[in-house]
Amino acid sequence: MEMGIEADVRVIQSRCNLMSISFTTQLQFDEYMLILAPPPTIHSSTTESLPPSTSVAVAADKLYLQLLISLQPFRTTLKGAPTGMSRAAVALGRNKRPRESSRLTSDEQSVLDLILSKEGSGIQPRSIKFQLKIPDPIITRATKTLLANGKIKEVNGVQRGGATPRKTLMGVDFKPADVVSGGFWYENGKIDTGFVDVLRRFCRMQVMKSKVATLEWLHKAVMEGKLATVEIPRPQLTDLLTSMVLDNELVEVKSTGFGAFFRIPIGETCYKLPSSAAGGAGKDSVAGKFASIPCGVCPRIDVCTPDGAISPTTCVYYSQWLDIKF
Amino acid sequence: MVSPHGILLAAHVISSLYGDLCSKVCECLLRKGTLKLDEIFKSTELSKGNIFNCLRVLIHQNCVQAFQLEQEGGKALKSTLYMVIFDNIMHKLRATKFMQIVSEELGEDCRGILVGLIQHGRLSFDQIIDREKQKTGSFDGQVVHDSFRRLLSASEAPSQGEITERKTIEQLALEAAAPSESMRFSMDTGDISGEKGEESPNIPTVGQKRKNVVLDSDDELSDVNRRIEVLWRVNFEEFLWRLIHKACISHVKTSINNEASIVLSAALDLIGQSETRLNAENSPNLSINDIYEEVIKKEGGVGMDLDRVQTSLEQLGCETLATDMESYCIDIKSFIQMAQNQEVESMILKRYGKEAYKIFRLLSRAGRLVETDKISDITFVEKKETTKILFQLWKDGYLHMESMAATRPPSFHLWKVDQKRFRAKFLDEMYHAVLNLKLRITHEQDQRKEVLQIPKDKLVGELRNKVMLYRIVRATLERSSMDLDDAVVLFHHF
Repeated sequence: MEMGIEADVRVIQSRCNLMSISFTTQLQFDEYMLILAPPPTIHSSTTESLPPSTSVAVAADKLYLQLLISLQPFRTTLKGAPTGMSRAAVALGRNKRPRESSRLTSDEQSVLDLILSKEGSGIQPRSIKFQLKIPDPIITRATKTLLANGKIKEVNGVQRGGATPRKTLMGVDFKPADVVSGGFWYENGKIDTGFVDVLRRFCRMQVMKSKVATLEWLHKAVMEGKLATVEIPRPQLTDLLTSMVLDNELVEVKSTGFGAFFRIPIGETCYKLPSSAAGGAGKDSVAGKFASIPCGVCPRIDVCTPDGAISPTTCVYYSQWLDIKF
Repeated sequence: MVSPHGILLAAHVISSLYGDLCSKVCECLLRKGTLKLDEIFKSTELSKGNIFNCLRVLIHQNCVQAFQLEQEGGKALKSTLYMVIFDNIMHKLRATKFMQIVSEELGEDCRGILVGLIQHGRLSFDQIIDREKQKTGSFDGQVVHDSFRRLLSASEAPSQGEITERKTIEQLALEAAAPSESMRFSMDTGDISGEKGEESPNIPTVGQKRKNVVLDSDDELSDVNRRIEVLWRVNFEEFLWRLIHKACISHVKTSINNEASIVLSAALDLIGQSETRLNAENSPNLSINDIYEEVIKKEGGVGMDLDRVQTSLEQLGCETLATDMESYCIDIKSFIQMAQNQEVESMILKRYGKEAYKIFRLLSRAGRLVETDKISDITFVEKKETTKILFQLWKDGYLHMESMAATRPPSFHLWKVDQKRFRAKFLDEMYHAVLNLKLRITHEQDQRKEVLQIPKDKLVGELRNKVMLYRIVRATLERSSMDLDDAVVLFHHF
């Protein structure tokens, strides 16, 4: 190129750099130069006061404005400009790498590609920033655009170890992985307690009817009962039954092959109801002797001393306990 | 090593029974372990005379054991070592239970003899007779003799199985202090010159056969030893087993049903004097017919048939032998374990809530490290809540935690119940609670000291009500203390 044009190219490049638009090849940049359309009439109030400059500098500024327009097609409509995107913006768009939709800018496309590549695991906005090295405002705009276009969705994730959950973005067609959703029993970041309770009551009822039940039998009963629209995997059902055992709603035993177990192979794990004397968690009938006195339930027992501020002689729990009894 | 609140409780018991000086000596031995006389003198800053008197009382009450170590080469050291027997101090709290057992099983005459032994620690047979003479206006020597025999025959302790672990000096000293197993409970008919439940306070020497020669060291103490006589004391081990059986039966009654508790009681009675009771996992094989015959002798067992007995045995988790379907093994340790678990889980439930109860039960049964999210998944507790509960339990010393670094935060946390550490902490808390109950009883008494000193005939109206209320409060606190002691027995000895 001639010196004059080279200078023009440098000016335009520097203007475009202000917006962090990068041209991956010189060819793309050259094409932009070639298809530069006559600028629309720009209302004076929308422009900054431009320094006196060469015609190339003015043209570069106008290109800058057109690129701005292309990023915010529905927000910025300049007087006299065609509705929607300017021709320059459309031309610009056509010459970038292939897009899903002609409306997506390169940033949006980059963001979308990254999100889709994560499939069901999704990705958090700050991770997008680290990977693409794009400023936050651009990422925010891109994600809003993609959400509005229905290309991605936001999932309320569950953080490992109970840390504060952060929103996760993923392709709209992907199902959130367990590490994001929390697992089979989670819905919108919380345990679906309604569904879990229904299933628990159903399992308890089945065990009550049959006196003794195995995992396989219960799994079959649950599927035939059509309590869920999806199949409940056996490991998840095992977790549910284990939870019921921990709550003293069921008792886990091994089959002896005799009596109530006569149809069940010896050694197989079975579930039955606890005896009527035993209570579930919280029933007083199985309260321990230590838990029956104030010291047993006292959260301050570690700081209680015979002569201290908290002591058995000054203890309010003791006073309440002895008053209640009489 | 005794836990901190165990030491405080023992010191309180000794103080209330034998005074503050004895309590000080006892506490010194509990905190510092086995000591020589000079070391006790330096630690307590009491006069030697006081220390001697205290040691005499404590030895006579079976709370302290004196012994000498044998040096290599066969020459015994001149100084004597003193060690405290924490278990025997705790047994002082259970005196009323022991008396009740004897009263129910053997009658009031035997109870009278036992009361004397509990009060005085060690008595010769002549002293027992003298005491009975002073107590009752009409004295019948034959009745005393027979009652004594009945107590002795009920005290047959099982011979200990082989203990393979290395014994401590203190264990060896206790063994050397006792006569051989064959002689501990034997009693000649007629002239009472038989062997004893406890040898005379002849200071035993660990590492060699017990001698009847009084050693020269500790001259003042050895004055007591100059007369060689047969002394008797309470066989605490037998009472302990009775209490453990009672606790297991009570637990089965609440957790399974009454019939199962009757069957267990019958089976434990059959096990009775088994040699393997103390150390073995399982009892000798019991046939279903023997168990049934024992069941129908029990109150509430008359109406039970063989099928119901078998059903109860299955509910108890007793297994039949592979070779003999009519015989059952009863795993006593599993019942003790179940009773312990019930105590622990009950406390966790009431102190920390239902979610913590489930999490603790899961970790207790898992017996290994489990990751936070896995715990949350199995217990159906929200992940954030799970983490909060786990850290709370860990901070209070009930859980063990390990962290694993991940490539990015947050790190993995793994949790488990360290059974040994946990049980030690739980036992210490129970000692703390027993001490608190005792101190509260003393406080309630002090609050109403003046009213309690008023003669009964002058107690009217408000004063009478105050005294009545005090008695009810005291009875409640003492009953709670006795109940809690049942749980202490389960945890301390297993």
